[in-house]
Amino acid sequence: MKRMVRTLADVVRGTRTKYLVLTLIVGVVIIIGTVISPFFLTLGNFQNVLVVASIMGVAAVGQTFALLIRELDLSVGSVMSLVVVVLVAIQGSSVLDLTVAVLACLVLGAAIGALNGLFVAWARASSLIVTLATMVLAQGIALQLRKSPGGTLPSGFSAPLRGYVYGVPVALLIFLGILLVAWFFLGRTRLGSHIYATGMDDQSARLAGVGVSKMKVLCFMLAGLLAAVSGILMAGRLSSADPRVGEPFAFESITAVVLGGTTFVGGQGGVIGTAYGALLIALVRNILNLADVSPFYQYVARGLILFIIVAAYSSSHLLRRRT
Amino acid sequence: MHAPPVRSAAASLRWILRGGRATYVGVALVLVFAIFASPRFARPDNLLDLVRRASYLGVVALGQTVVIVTGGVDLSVGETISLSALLITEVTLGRSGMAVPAILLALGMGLAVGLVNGLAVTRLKLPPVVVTLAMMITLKGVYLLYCNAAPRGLAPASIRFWATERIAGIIPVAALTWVFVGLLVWFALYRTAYGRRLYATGGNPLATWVAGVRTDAVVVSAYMIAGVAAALSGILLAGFVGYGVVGAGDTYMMNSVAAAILGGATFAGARGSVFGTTGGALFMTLLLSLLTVLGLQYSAKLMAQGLVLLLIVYAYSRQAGRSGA
Repeated sequence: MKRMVRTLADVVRGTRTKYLVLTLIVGVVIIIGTVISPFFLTLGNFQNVLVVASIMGVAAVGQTFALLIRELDLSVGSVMSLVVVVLVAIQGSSVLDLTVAVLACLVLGAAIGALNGLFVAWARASSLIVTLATMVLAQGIALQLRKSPGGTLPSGFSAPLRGYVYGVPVALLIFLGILLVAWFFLGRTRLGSHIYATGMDDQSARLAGVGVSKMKVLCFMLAGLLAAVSGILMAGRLSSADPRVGEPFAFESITAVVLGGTTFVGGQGGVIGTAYGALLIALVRNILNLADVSPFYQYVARGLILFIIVAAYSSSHLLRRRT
Repeated sequence: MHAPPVRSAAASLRWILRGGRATYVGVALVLVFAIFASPRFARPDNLLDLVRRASYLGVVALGQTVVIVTGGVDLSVGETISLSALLITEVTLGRSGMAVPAILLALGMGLAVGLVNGLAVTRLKLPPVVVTLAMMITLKGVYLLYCNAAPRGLAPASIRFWATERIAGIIPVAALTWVFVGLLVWFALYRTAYGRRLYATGGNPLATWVAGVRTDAVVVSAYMIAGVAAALSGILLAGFVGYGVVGAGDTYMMNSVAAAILGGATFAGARGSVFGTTGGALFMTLLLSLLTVLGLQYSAKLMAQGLVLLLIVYAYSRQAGRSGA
């Protein structure tokens, strides 16, 4: 127990330095953006960046739960696509219709997550192959429901999602709410520490009385649920359905999580870092767009950035703890 | 590799369903099903054609298996295939005289991609999933930039012959290539000290290193083999398609992993066989072909693939060890 306390203290100390560094990086990126384009530092552009960061952030917070238990969820993007397609397929626009639609999407996301979790926890399959399978499955369903981009979201639905409260995008408020709850849940509750314990060493955690299998299913359900929320926000932003809109998000959400310092070792990191990660990705992408960089170069840039970040983390002494 | 003494019907059933053998049961089942769905499926001509199509996947799946045996995974093989196919069509622009340089260039590219993957995994000690995911996105950007998302090249006749024609009207040249690569990998894995080192590294890298094996070099070589195998698949695919396309290799990442896993490889490492992966590649190709025969659309095919994969993962999971992603 004493050792546990000391380890946690180390983690907290390391975490503070990490947030400092991440805040500095965000600052530097903002300065670079300001230099590159006069349009960068405008309210409209920042609102846009924050909406993009929020949509990615919600999915990435879900992905954080998967990485914390040493797994990963490749199905996040397909779940988003599926949710967008389902929402646009809903025709009614009364409050009741929309509530039912949103609930249905959340249940759908959580159900796909539960499927992933059950396969990983009880069938003891690797999350890589399981979530690859559900990724293909959900993508197939989305394409079955809608072959090509189109359709419109009822305005009664998209209007509130695209709205602003005193200039703050609603999507950002939703993201911050989710972030707060996730942070409290992981850092301040018993279940949260059980998740960390499962990720650090599931055998020891099991011996210590943690319901390891339940924790794994829970984490995948949260990943699926949050992917669905992210899909709903995405639908609000697009106002129409694209059955492939979520495709890049499996990669992007993992990048955001890893950027925020949650490692593949398991049991390390947290959602605040992930929020930084999502913000950084949104900022960098925005700057590349403003600088008129070809989207093809952006692929290369994204790949290299992920590469460099992971290398930087793994070589920094502060997070060096290999299994 | 050798049969345990068969004791009862249940035991022998378990033996048949273990590891790579199960894929051949799957192949037989899908085949029977397909023949019922469409009797023309059973024509020797069609079956040979299936083997030819399976060889594009089969070659890259062998490379993927070598990486998985060391305890890694290569998610960048799909984009390596796409880039390799593109190099063939864009460099040659259909001229047979340029075929050899283009092939060497593509294979060299695969080797380089594998080298970078391997060095990142061993030197920087990064998780293979992240390294190869980053490589995947980078390569996608590279090939989109290279052809400006609008490829205009053609595959030379010689490579088209290699990928699609048959010797004496019977044996597909591509399938011969597959058999050749399979024998090569089989020999390397089971008849050389190098093969033992691969399995040992996958089983327990530290113990293997202590035993005097340069495990880093072994891992790097595995990624290079995967890179070259992917490049070779890309060359064949370029010959099959005949002209340059964007994203020729998109489906090959998932299918190569699936073929290896179906064939008995596990992400924990030290498991996987040439025999099993070959069956896995045949199975995945047959499955897709069956879905086409059934008249399913692309979306339904994706769903069916996902479901079958889940089903098989479940069937396997109870017997194999596992590790985290």
